[in-house]
Amino acid sequence: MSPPEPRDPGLQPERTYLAWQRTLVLLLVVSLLSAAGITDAAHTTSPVVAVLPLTIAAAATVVIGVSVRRRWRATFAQPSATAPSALMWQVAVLSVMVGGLAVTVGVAAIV
Amino acid sequence: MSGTGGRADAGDREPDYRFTLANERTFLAWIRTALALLAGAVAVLSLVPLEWGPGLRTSVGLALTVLSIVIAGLAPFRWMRVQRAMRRDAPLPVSALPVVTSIAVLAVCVLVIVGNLAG
Repeated sequence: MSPPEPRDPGLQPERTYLAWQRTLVLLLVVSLLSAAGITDAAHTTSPVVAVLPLTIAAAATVVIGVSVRRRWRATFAQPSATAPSALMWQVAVLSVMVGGLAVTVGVAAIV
Repeated sequence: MSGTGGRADAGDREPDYRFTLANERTFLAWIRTALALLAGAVAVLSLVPLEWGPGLRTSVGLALTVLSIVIAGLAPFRWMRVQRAMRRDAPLPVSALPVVTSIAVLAVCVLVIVGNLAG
């Protein structure tokens, strides 16, 4: 028995796009916090320590954000209810970014 | 959540896109969980002035940081395994994430309480 045709096939892709937005915004915010925390923990006044994680996080946000938005907009063109899955690299880059930030925070706290 | 249970055809095929997207949103929710825990770690380690001893601060901060890393590392694998199971119409794999997160957060809370009582 196949699932019933969704009433508005565009809703789920939009929800997913919004979820990506929330996640990327949170990534930016936490990278800002982490930069402040790392700078404080490492007792350094060097701006490089703070700017580097921020820059990488911002770059990842832009790259992932653009590609995710493009994927969402591509679903408009399809009249039938379908949407492509996330790409492996989007998932991987996001996970590595978060893990990398966490590792940096942890190392700065120990060192 | 197999969605196609009851159908006779076998083999790999893309699941209903709603399940694919739901799986993706679950992954994003775990990532946000890892990020929130990391924010907490940074708050404890540097940003929030606390009357704790340095040992308690560092251990709570590091525990949260490690948990964040574990969640960020496990989340993409959970996503992949669920996607694969849905394609094969197989039962969804059980992830360690919910149990690990619950126990770890509980442990950190206990650590905070005990640390403050003892310190």
